[in-house]
Amino acid sequence: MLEVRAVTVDFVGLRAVDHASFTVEKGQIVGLIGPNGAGKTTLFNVVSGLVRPSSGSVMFEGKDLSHLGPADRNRMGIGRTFQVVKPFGGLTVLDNVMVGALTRGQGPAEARETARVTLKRLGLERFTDTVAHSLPLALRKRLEVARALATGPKLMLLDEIMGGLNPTEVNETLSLVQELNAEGLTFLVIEHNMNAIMRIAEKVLVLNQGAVLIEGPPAVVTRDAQVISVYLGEPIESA
Amino acid sequence: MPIKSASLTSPSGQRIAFAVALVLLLCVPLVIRDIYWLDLGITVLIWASLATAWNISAGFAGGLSLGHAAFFGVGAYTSSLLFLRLGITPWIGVFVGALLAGALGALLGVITFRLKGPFFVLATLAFGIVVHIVNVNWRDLTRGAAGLLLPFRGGPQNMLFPNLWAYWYTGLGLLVLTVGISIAIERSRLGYYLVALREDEDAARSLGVRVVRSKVVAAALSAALAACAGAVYATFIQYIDPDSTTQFELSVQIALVAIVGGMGTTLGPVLGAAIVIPLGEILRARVGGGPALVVYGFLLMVIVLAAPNGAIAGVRLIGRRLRRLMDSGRKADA
Ligand SMILES: Nc1ncnc2c1ncn2[C@@H]1O[C@H](COP(=O)(O)OP(=O)(O)OP(=O)(O)O)[C@@H](O)[C@H]1O
Ligand SMILES: [Mg+2]
Repeated sequence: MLEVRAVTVDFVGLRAVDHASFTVEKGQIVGLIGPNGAGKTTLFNVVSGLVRPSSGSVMFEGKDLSHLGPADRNRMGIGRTFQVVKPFGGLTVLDNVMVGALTRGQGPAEARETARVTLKRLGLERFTDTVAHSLPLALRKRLEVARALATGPKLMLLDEIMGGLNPTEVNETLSLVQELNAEGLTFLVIEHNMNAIMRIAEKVLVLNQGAVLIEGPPAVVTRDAQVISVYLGEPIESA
Repeated sequence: MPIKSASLTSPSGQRIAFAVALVLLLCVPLVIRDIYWLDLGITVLIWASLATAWNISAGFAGGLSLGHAAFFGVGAYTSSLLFLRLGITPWIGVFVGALLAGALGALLGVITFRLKGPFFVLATLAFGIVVHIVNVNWRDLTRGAAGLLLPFRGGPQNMLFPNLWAYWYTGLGLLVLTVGISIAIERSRLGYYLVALREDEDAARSLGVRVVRSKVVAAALSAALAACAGAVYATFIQYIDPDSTTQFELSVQIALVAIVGGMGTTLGPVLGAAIVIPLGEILRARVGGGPALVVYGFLLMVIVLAAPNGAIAGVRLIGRRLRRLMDSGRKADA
């Protein structure tokens, strides 16, 4: 479904992504892990169209996305959240989510309904009329997910949506991802919470200094010595 | 049994409030017979429309334009020239002017949509100045500084009326048109897109909002409506020159009216016109000349400091307090 081909991103004096290649198949949940500054978010920016790669390309459902901007990529079915949340601060939670529903061609009334259903699904309905900037961070992260979901994506890119959540909330989030996945949504998930990633991901990619160091099933990846030294610091118990 | 009152902020309450306001405005010429006040009232209506037009691109989309006098001027000159040179009635000329200004607005939008903050402001400012310079120097077309005089001939079929009340109703029609379109935009897909882009462009794009299309459409609509105001202004004053239509000061005044009233809201610019225009006029008449400008500037500063989100925010706050007071009164009765 998604094919990243030898993507390289050079910022001034810094190579953030270095010939990264990988694929995500339809229906998968793929984890993307790596130390701080490894280039994970930059890779998301390339896939969603906010950053143009210096070289390499991104294919989605067999089409080359190189000449498409973020809006068109979203309309093709790529939804994403932002690690540093970007709510429409002055708008209500409902209006935030409505924007997502409107771009898939729904009129305002229908979009409002879609937004309500989405909010309910994410347990945000209590905050329907709350102005987004007054939400606590954990809820703003959930709003990121709601908004992207309302666009009706085929592939969801989640960038550290579980940071700062308590174990119960992490569990809720994981079940939601699995539920949506069962309904046919494909996921690429950046997460520092290894335990969480190991529980849902079918495949894990380890990014280090912009390059894909290793990819495979979670169990294999955790045992890989390289990863353990680069990222985990010490072996973790099976999750 | 408590009577359920329609809140002013509910859709039905809003509709009632608009209907009441419209009826009151329709009655104005019946009540106000004094030419001076009616004249001032018409000026307020035109300014309210102009500021509302400005607000569509600046308030909703977030790009503060300091070049809107250009569109006002294009509207005023297009309809006046069509009338003077070709005998085409301003009733048609106003739409030709709107189309022309809309195209110009779209062009400016295409050039500037990428620019942020001060760079956008500077680009619109430069655009306004260029249009003004063209206006002053293209004497064959515009007669330059000499201006254009609309001869009184023909009457109503040419939007030229023998009495002020007819201008009042024309101005009111203009205001209903601009506010109506402004409300329609606010509630439409475009309105949501514009506000989303204003709040966070990257987030909006990632949700499928197309930046160029949204901003260019907003810029074109805003310019077209400003041109309508220009055409009505020209038939009302019956004399236009570059100083009264395309000058930089005018662009600043348009922004000022909307900001004082509350940009980004539908009724803010209208309220702003109702405050700023009479204030300036009364000071000019009572105090006169330089001192009037000083007092005017000072009062505007006080208003902006007292209500940084615009007078409309202040009005809403008072409205909420009153409602709470009434609610608690009702509870005490029970
Ligand atoms: N717009 C930019 N301009 C210059 N450098 C950038 C830019 N964006 C990211 N970088 C740099 O690129 C590198 C990769 O950053 P990125 O945010 O992709 O890492 P990450 O893997 O998401 O890290 P984290 O786990 O902390 O979120 C970092 O060194 C970062 O400072
Ligand atoms: Mg990151």
